[in-house]
Amino acid sequence: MTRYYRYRLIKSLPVLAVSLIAGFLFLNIGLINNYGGYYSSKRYYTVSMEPVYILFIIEAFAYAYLAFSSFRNKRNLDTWFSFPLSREKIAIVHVLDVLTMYAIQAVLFGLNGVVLIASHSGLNVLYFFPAVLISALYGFLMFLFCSCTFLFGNSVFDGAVSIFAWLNVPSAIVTAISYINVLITGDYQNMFRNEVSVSPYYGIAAINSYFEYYMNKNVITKIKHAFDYTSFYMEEYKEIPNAAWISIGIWSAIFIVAAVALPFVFSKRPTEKIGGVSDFVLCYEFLIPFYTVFMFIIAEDRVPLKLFFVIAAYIAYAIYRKSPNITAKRFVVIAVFAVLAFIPVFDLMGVEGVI
Amino acid sequence: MIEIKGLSHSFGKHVVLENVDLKVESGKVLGLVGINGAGKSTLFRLMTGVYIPQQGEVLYDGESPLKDSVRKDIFLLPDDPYFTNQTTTKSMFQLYKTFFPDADKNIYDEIISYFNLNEKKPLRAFSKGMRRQAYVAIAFAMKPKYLFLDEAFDGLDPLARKMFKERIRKHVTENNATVIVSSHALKELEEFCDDYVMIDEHQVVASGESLEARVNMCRFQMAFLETPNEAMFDRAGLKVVNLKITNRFVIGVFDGDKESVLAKLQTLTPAVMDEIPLNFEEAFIESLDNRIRGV
Repeated sequence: MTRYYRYRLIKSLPVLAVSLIAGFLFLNIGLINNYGGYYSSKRYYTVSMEPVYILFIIEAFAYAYLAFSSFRNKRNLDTWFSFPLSREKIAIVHVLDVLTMYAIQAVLFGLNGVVLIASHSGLNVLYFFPAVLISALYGFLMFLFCSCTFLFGNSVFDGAVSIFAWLNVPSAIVTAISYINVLITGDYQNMFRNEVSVSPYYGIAAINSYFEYYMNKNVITKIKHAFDYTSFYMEEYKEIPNAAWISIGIWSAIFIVAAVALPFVFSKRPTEKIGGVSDFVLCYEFLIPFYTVFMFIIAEDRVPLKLFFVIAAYIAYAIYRKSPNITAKRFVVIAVFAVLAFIPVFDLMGVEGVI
Repeated sequence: MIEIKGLSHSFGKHVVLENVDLKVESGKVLGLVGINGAGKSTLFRLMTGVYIPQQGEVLYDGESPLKDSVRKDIFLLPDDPYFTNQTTTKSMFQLYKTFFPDADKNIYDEIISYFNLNEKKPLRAFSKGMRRQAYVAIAFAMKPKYLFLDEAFDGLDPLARKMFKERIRKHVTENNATVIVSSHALKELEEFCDDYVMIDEHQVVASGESLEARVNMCRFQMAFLETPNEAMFDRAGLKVVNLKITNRFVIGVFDGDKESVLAKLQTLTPAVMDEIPLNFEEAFIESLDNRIRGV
């Protein structure tokens, strides 16, 4: 296992190099913002954490693909799965390899950022390292989630679809609940109150904004004084909002479940199905009916739109089964949705009228 | 010893192997034969832990191939091995070496230089046979106790095949290894396999040291005083499998046991008649052909 880990590290060097080049580029271009310019001869510099945490989030998708795509390519199976290392250990090594890449980047970006921030007056550098470490950790946890959901698919394409579909499942659930809640309570005003909390990007963005605020605090005061103006975003994150804690809490729990499930999903999925139809219960078998139900809810009682989603579900099944002929079981699902399309349930316009 | 007990495996509704039982003694070279789609590669994958058995078990001296302690002794050379655009023979050797710490670089170097392969050249730039040669070098260098060679001779030229067969023998002798070879090159298998296993219709239909002995078929060569024809063999009540008539000489393969065929042939009063043993390939073809034609 140690030897394979060393081998993986060496093999990952080009990926790490590309990540570092991209990171240094983003960091040196985007970390320090210039404020002032047209209206004043004096320039004020503020820190923006976006180049850091956005990079770590993008890497979560890319690393999941790079770490596990070989195991979703039928041609590679005989070689990879006959190596004398258990599947669980192979999965763990690939995860450790990515963890190492995140750790190296966190340290190097941290150092680079400290130098950049320290070279501008008025900025508090102390908050930078914690922000980078939290962002890297979040990126790594997101990588675990992406890897786990990627492995729900039996091919690289289906794995990619699975990642993006699962990332939006919590948002879809909360949105659907909002629609249903309006029907029950008639509280149309607070309809989308909780949606932001279940975005996987919101919590980490809010925490970074919080750190940004304390790094930029002195400069914000000067900007305020010089221009009698500060933007909403500069002032908003003096504290981390409850919604951000909820978001971080929800997604951390999801990420931890994914992390625990990853070695099992990797080792227990039947190898002979790889390259074929992704019939795992947590892939299309769940996702297609789930999103059709979600679409039905947000379509309210617009029958043509619902019928359009029934057709979309059929197309999704056809893509998933790699054939326009669908099985009897799937036909029943489509037929049930087609019938449901005509049954009026969610007339929110009517509710709005009542309000 | 490798022991397979009640092994069954299906791809959806398609049954590939059904209730397979098999024992492979250590230090033997076993030939695995069967027509395309018989389940040879699936059996290899189940034996090497690539597939997890749906039913039954594979045991190496009583232990599952899914355990690391067993897997370190197993090497599978698939019929179409993995490589990327950048993979070279050298980089592939390094990958395998991380899993097989006892790999012998000398064996690798020896085979690479024998085939005159450039180990730094990408495998994609090699011909199919050259790629096979490269993987053969890696396979033997890992010194596995259990070596699985799927479609072993695919793409190899006669000289490479000769070297390959010699290497297999050497590997078995030096390491008390067990080599299991699947191939459609039955003449090659006949030359160096100790035992064979034939898979057909999801099951092991024959196994042992000789397939020929299990086939109810025999071959005779004869000379007649007058030019013979095919019809006279039919009239004698013989079931002709294959008949080659050259002037007054005949070589024929007939269905049935030796005694009954001989008795029928003697009614045709040949001047001279001798039995010629069947070879492995003829026995294989005859076994399966009868089944496919429903004879």
